[in-house]
Parts: sequence; structure tokens; C-alpha cells
Amino acid sequence: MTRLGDQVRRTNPYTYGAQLWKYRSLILAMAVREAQGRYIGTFGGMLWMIVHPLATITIYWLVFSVGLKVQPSSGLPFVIFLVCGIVPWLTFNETVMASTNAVTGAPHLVKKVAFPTSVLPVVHLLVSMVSHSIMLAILLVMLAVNGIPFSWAFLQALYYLGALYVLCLGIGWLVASINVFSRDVANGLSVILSFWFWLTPIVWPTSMLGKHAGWLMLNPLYYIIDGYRDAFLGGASFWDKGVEHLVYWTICLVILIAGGRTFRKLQPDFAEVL
Amino acid sequence: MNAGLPPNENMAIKVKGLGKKYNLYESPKDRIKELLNPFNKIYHRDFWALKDISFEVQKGTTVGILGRNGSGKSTLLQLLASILRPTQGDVRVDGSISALLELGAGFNPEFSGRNNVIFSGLLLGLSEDEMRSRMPAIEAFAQIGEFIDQPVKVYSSGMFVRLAFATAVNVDPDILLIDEALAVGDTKFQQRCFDRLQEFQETGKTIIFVTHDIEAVLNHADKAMLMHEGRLVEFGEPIAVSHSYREILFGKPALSQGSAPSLDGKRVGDVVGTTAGPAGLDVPATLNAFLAQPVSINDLCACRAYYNENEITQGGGIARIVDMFVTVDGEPFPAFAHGGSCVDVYVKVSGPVDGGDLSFGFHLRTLAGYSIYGANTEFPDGIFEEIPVEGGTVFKFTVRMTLHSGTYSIDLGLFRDGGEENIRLHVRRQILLIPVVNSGSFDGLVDLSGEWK
Repeated sequence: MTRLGDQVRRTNPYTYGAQLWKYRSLILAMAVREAQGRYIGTFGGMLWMIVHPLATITIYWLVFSVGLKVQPSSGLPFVIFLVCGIVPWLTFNETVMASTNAVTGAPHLVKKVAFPTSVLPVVHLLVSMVSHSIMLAILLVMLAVNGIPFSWAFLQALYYLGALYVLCLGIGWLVASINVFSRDVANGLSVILSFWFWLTPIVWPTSMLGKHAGWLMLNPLYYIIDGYRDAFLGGASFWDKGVEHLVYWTICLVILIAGGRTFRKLQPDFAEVL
Repeated sequence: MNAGLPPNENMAIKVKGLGKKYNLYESPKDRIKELLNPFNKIYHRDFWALKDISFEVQKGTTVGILGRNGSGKSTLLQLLASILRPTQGDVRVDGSISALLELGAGFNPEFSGRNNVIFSGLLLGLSEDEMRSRMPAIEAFAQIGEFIDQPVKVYSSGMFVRLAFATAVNVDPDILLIDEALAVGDTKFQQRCFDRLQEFQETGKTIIFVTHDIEAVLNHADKAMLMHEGRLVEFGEPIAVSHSYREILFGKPALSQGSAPSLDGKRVGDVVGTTAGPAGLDVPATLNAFLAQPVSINDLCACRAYYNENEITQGGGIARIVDMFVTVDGEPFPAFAHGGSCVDVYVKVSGPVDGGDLSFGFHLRTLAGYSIYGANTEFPDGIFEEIPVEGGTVFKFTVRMTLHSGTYSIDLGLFRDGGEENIRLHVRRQILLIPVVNSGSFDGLVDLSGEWK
């Protein structure tokens, strides 16, 4: 006979991962439902998935390139530089905000069905892949239009996307579980994300910081965004970086473990509180 | 594995010293403060929803859990389903569990029935292929035809329930937990659900279901469990447990259980023949004591096991209905009346009954109020016996309960012949509730003893 609850008590990072893998088809099915649910009943349907990022890009381009006439150091059109940075940021923003309500948005499941709730934040990673793919397609079109040919270096972006998702999962577990107990998390997070956006060189070039640019290494989003730019705009290759990898993965794994542990600790009480 | 439990391969569930404490917080914020406080500061008050629950369930057993609202039934089920974490003790199970705590919990109204069925299976840990292979069985059980490919939002509530139940019983768990889910659907579908549960049982599966319905427990459970105020009061034969449940329900002793201790520790039905009712009333516990007691100025009806506190009363001046006594085949206030048994009803009436202008009548109804049978003392073929007692009269009548299983109500009324129209002196509608369990097989309300010649 097995003792109920032992599975939760005995989890380690490996079994936690194994459980996610076991429930992969559930995660996929939930993601499909979520993505369909978002646009079910709208006439535009999937079209909105293209319109939203396009609108955001256009606004920033108008403000910075046309209005403020910001010039990036590399000499490329500013809009390309902007899009390379804003694509991973929008994905990060979307995933983290959606994860906040991952558990609180599914009380009927958490309270009535015995299943591992830790899959819920993962679902939103998958959902964000849809809009991310669309944005990547827009980016590739823009690159082609500006005469940048396809290069195998582009594939480095996939590595950075993977790295971004690990970070998102850690933050997702953290905010999803705490938000069950205190809905302040959702509000606080949107404030933090606004600051975070401007503290990350997305719409401004790194060169603006001059000799202080080294501090940016502590911002994990800078690693991702810089990685995207390197991949698409022919900057430093993956192998040229060393300390950056180390710093990012240290921060990322600390957040992932903290998020996973917090979620695991709070998980048994979800059904009680919701 | 420890805790001194000997290994026993026949056990499906072992619960030992199980307790569930809810921490009551002033605000949700206090909860997170406490969880994350490094010095383990306490921010809550304790509330024990369950305490000291221990029991074992053998494989292939069907257990019905009875208890009033708030007695801890659903909490127990949620602990067994490992949705809640126990505060004390532990639960050991052998085999996979499927919990039917809410029908169609994972259903999304925008998606098709088929899509929702597969999704529910995934939630319970099955693969998509497994669910696809079970689809024909589920469709056959739910009988909703081509609606299976329509979005669930267009379903009638009956179709929704049928599909949800079909899904739950076809995921084929070793242990099935059901929380009052069977109270829905029409009688025929309920019967099919129980038939399906029967098949389950025969293949050695274990079923635990929570219900308010004594009848369902008596008909379908091998064992019954009675929960009261977070404790397991009794675990044993369904008949015995249903008697105790009735005691708890009516908050007063069921007089047939002479030796059973009531919950507040008093023994009832003793040799004196009376027991202290609320507010120190003398409530006669045997028929002889009832007939010997003079008419009381107090209303003793409310102290009787079959009394319905939601009765509707009218009048009650010079002549009143003050007490009543029911025996079924001679047994006072049993847990239920078997189909075909003789129910004797004694009604004690106060006030002047002389002169013959006072009449008494009753009406047997379904709970929905549908009239089944009634009579009064004005009818030419008298079925009433009038027994004089000090200060009034006892009216006795007898009915044979050839009815389908269910609960039936009886109206009692006192009238005075007022020429063209009777004047109502005291009418107590639905004052008695009589549970009937009929093991005979027939459809409809009344057993008309159809036979083949």
C-alpha cells in the first residue's frame, strides 16, 4: 500500500520533472484549450495574435525611431534592433503575468480533481509559444526586408528562448503559488514588470550606460535580449561568452529552485484556500 | 512502511488516526505570513473538521458514508482523494483512485463532449490513447447520441450529468470515491449508475460514496459509516448505522433501539417507558405508556422520530393534536418501513370530543405533495379506532405501505362539522415523514401486485 502524500513529500527536482513529463499530454491539452479559449468567440480569431505584437512594435518604433530619432550603435535600422529585444520581452511579460493566475484561475480543478497542480504554470509557457512564433515570423520578415540573409547563427535564439522559459517557469511557480494566498502579487508584479522593462536595454542601446554597462549582467533579461540580438544581428556568438552564461544560469537556477520549492510547500493548501 | 500495520493484501484503504485541522485566519494574508515566517509564529485559530478517524476497507467493498451537513463527510473524501493534506495520521491505499467529487469538474462548456471526456481522462492521469479506446463505452453509457460532438454548453443538465458520470466510471480505477453525485439524474439513470457500480464491485473494485440518502446505503452498500461532528461514530452494517443516523437526524432517540445509547450518552426506551424530552417533557417511549399518559398541555409531536419540523400548521385552539405514535409491524418508529408493512398511527387529541361533531382525518402524500390516500372519520366505512384517554382521545388508523421506496408524508387534521363546510380546528400538514424501503421490483408509486396467470 502506498501512503498518500508521500509523492509530494519525497519530491526532488528529478521527480518533479518526471511528473511534468508524465502529464505532458494534459499540459498540451490545457495549453490548446487556453489558446483556443482566448480567441473563441472573436471574429478576428488568430489574427489578434498578430495584431497585438505588431501594434506594440509600431508604437515603440514611432516614438523612438521617428519621434526621438534614437540611433543604435551598429548602424542598423533602429526598428530591427528594437524588435529583436522586444520579442523575448513580450513573451516574458505574457508568461509571467499569465502564470500569476494559473492556479487561482482554475479553482474548480484544484478543489475537485486530484492532479498535480504544478503543471498549471507550465501550461502558460506553451501558450506563449504561439504568440512567440508569430512574432519570430514577423522578425524574420523584417530581417529579410532589410537585407539580412538567413544564417545558422539565428538558431542560437532557440537556446536563449529555452533559457528564458526556464526563468519564466521559476518565476511562474513562485508567483502562481503566492498569488493563491495574496492577490497583491498580481498587482505588485505589473509594477515590477514596468520598471523591469525600462531597466532592460530594449528600447535604448547598451552604449548609453557607458562604463557602467557591466552591471547589466545581473539582469537576467539582458542576457536573453542581448542573446537574441547577437543571434539575429551577427553579434558575439554563444562561444564568446563565459561569465555571462555563468551569472545567468546561477540566477536562473536559484529562482527556479526557489519557485519550485515555494510551489511545493504551498501546494497542499491550495484546495483549502481557494 | 511502519506504524505497526500488518501487511494485508485484501485491504484497499487503511486510515489511521486521521485528523484534519483547518487554520482559521483573520485574513488570507496571515496565512502566507505564517507559512513563510522563519520563526514559526502562529497567526491562526484551530478548527478540527475531522478527528481521530481510523478504519479499514477491504477490497471489493462498497461503503456508504452518512452524516449531516458539516459532519466531515466531504472532507474525508477529499483527504482520501489526496486533494487535502491530513493534519494528523495517514491514509494508505492500494490501487489507483478516481474521485467523483463534482460531476464534470474539468468540463469546459465551449468544447465538445468528446473533447471534454478526453480532457477529464488526462486530468486523472490517463493517456489520450487510453481515453480514445474507452470512448465507445462512454458514449454507450451516456446515451447522448450525436451530441457527443456538440459543445457541452448546448447540453441539457441531464445530458451533462450522464456524460460526466459515464466518464468517471469508465476511467476504471481500483477505488472510486463519489460525493453525492448520484443524487442527480432521473431514476432510470440512477439505476443504471448503481448497476454499473455493481459491476465494479463484482470485479473487486472498492467504492466509497457519500450521501444523505439512507435508502441508497441500505440498497447498495455492504457497509456504512456514520460521521458526526468530525468523528467516525459508527462503522458497520448498513441497517444498524442507518438507525443511528436517524437518531442524529432527528436530534432525539429512535425509540426502537432500546439498548442503543443516544449521542448525548442517555439511554432511551428504559423500563419506565418515558424519557426526558427537551425542556424536561415526559415523552412516553412505548405504546402502552403513550396510551396511558393523559393528554399533555405541551406539544409532544416535535419529540417524535418521524416528526417533520417543516410541517405547516393551521388553527390549534380548543381542540389540538398533541402527540402521535407510529408503529410499523408492531415496532415503534423503526428506521424505515419495509414495502408492504402495516403502519399503525396513533394520534392523541386534546379538547372536547363529545357530541360527535369533531372529526379527524389524515392524508398520505408524496414529498412533492401528490395525494396517495386519505380518509376521515366522516366516511361511512370507518377505518378509525377511537381510544379514550384522560383529557382527550387517541385516534388510531392503519395503512399498508405498498409503496415504492422513498419518503412519504402524512397530514393530520381535526375538523368540526359546520353544516355545508367543515371548520378546520387544527391542521398539521406533512407532520409525519415515513421512510419506506421497498425491495420489490416495480415501476411507479404503488405496488398493485400485478401477476401472471
